[in-house]
Amino acid sequence: MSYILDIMYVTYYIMSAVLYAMAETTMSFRETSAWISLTSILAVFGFYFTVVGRALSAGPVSADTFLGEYVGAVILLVVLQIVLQIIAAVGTRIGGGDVETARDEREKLIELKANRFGYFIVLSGAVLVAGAIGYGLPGYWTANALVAAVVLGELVRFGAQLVYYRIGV
Amino acid sequence: MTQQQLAERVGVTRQTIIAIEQGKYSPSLEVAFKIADAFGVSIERVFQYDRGRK
Repeated sequence: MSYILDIMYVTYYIMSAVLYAMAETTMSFRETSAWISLTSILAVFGFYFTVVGRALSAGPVSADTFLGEYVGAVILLVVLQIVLQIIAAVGTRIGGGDVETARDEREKLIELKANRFGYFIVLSGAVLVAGAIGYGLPGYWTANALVAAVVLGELVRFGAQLVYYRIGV
Repeated sequence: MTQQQLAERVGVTRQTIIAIEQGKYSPSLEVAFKIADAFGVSIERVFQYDRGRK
């Protein structure tokens, strides 16, 4: 339970900074949305891997040890994303910003370019894990390594989007 | 005409108009023509090719 409160506190702290920056700059709703995705994934899976790391460093565990934590992290991430995206949309709307306009060509290009980086990370992770299985990597390591590859891929993808939004594409 | 009004006429976000103004994004021909059309001028009055820029 304390982990959930910690995650909510960290997310609230980061989101306060993001929403402040959003009000002070010309940040679009989609850029804010990318910030929300990046920070919430970082917060939730940062804590998830902290828990997993502590358990694994204590010794071998059974294959389904982290199933509850993983499902909890995914549910928490979905709930956080929904709540924060709604807050960002309402905040953008109140501030006179545009929420309804479909992705334009620049935003689509940014997403496509950022996807390449994320895909490279996920693919590299999958190849490495597949190779490691051949050397007898235990099931819980395999599962968590794959989760780590996906999480890292998503962080890189949203990070690249934010860089492109700032420096141009 | 404000950036928001231009964005609405062209069908892009205000941030894309800002990015074009700041030279951070080169629009497609379609958007470039729409911007010129919104101002009622020819495209070369709005956009010029800069040889020195990558």
